[in-house]
Amino acid sequence: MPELTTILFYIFAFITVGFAIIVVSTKNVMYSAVSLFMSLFGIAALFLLLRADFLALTQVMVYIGGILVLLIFGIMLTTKITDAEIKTNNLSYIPAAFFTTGIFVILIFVLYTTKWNQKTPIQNEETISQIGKALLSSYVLPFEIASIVLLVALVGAIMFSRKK
Amino acid sequence: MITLAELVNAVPLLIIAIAAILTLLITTFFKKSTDVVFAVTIISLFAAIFFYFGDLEKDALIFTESLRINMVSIMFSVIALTAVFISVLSAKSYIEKEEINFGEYYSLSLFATLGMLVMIHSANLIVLFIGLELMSICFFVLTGFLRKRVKSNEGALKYFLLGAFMTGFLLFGISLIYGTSGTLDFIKMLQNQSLVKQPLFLIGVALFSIGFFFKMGIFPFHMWVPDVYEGAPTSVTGLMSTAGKIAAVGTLAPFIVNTNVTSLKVIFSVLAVLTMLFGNVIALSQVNIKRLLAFSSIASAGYILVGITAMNEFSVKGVAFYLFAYTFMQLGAFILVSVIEKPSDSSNDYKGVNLDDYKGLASKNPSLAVLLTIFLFSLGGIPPFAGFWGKYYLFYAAIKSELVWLSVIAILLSIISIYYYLKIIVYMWFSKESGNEVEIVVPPFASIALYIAAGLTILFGLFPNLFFVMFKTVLK
Amino acid sequence: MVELNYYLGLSSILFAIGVIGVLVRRNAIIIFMSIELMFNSINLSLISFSSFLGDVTGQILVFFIIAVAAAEAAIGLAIIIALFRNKGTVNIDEINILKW
Repeated sequence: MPELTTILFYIFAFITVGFAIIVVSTKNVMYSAVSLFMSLFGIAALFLLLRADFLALTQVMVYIGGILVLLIFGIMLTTKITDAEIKTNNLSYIPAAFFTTGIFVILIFVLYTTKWNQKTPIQNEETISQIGKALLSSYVLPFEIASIVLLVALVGAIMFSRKK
Repeated sequence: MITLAELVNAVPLLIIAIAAILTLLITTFFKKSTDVVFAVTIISLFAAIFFYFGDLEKDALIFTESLRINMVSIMFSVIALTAVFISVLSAKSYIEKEEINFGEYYSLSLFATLGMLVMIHSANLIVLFIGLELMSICFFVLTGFLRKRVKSNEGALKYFLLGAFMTGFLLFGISLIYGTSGTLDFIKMLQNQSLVKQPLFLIGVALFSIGFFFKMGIFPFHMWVPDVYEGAPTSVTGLMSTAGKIAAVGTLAPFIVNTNVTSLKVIFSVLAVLTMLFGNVIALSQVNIKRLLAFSSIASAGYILVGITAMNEFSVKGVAFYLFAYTFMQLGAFILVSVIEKPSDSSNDYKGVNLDDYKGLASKNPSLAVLLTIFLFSLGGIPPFAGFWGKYYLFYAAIKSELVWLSVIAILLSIISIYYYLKIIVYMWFSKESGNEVEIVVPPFASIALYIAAGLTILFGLFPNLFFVMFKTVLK
Repeated sequence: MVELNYYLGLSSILFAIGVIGVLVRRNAIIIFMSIELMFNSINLSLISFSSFLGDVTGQILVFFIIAVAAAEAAIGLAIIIALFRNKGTVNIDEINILKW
């Protein structure tokens, strides 16, 4: 009888990969966005299985709550939803397939032949306090610069949309 | 805790950060304040360069080991700041001509500069990543700054999509580096000698390098360069092609040179040859001067990669000198292009950027023709200009690492490049004017920038050692 | 107990799907979504490394990646919409004044 976490891992892995495939293969942009939503949810669940509680929450709030809503706005502003005719000609299937399988095979091969220096992960410990402490001590500089990055994004987005 | 001594070491970065936010505030609260913003920008850049030559500690880890202040990082920072300084000086008249005279242009340039400095000084991969992204996001916006012009929009979209795609590879590399080494700290990584024997760590480093190769425009990650350089406003192109490249090289080169692995050397030298070949050969057939300079900058990235591939004590210094010389000649050429460019009424295209527009330039405005000739000779690597010594130091480093074949190929390919530079020069001096042309007015700040660039190209061509005297502790 | 390798394998599969999406699709917004998939696969691998190494640094990097992804999303969509207003399409085959 497999453990509960193993079963959950397979369920969420299946959800994530399945919807990811829909994201890149469907003809309708809106379906892609909704599938991306499901896929990101699956990843958030996997974060929880890896005991990254804070990031699972961030994933749901920033990615699903923010970025995805923004994306759907983008789709609605740039396509006419009513006529679902959104062209997808596939010029570069063959080189893409070669390139990607090449990378993929090498990676999988090396991943499975490498001996990882694993420590047994610590169970039942909140990461949120550790992350909070690290962000305000060792990583306070990148934290500040991240705020500047967001400011620049704000200014940039306004620049693109201003009239004059 | 952050101490006062640490803040003193970070003064140049603080100046840039404060100036960037200040310019943004001035733009927001005062209408028609772009002249003030321009002055603040120029003064802050100058002050930052000045403080780098001041009393900095010459080997320090500051802000809880996030930033590393040492001679190599100071050297690259000064070069990057110089590039931004000259570029911003010349940009004023250009953005007035194109009617995009907004204060945001200067703040975004300063924010990009902050990103570059953070990147160059970064002591761990988190800081590096965030600095890189700050720079990239500013460049995305600046590329699309002419937002009524479809070409500029397209350039921004291409740069954005490919940039984010390549950031993916960079991050994948970082994640493999983290997984194999268990740390994101450069210093801890380099202390662990056994790491370079792990194949997965090397794959990580290779993927990490791909992210930087994209920024430098190394084949086969160059596909954005000609399109984005052509689509971006010309003053931004100058900024991206010099300062952006300096930041990428200044971050990557010291790290790669320290790893010194044979398998990476093989890959890098092959990429260097392909880059030089591709850049120089395609440049031969270009008719648009912005595209021509884009391909020539791809070729330059190839020469830089030759220096990095050498991975010995001469590489960093050769790369630094080449970038320093490259800043003046490449930026000078782009400033000239931006001066000669005509303001266009149609929304799609840049006017006056074809090679035909340079026919008979010498008879119209001899001083401009002389300046452009200097820059192009220097780019072609003809003595006594700075570009010659730049290539000399790069290829010297390669020869010292017994990569003679690579140097020979590089020299042969850089001889090809002289052909297309000469073509422009012949157009300027010996061709008849194509039509009735309006007189070219050189705005005051642009001409100051041009004369600074030309003067330094000649100065460092005649006295290349001056550069090493400036940063003397890098050399023993 | 799920081994580290399974998480890394899953992350590689997701990364490959994202790369295929970028290379094959022609709609700028779908390309952007594929890039988001790539970023997520990287986040997954970083968190699994972090969890199995018992070290919180990887999670901090993920935190910054999410922040930057949000900033990039804002800029990216602003660019896409600006182009759409000028040009009327987000299909990158029709965006061809500059040779792609």
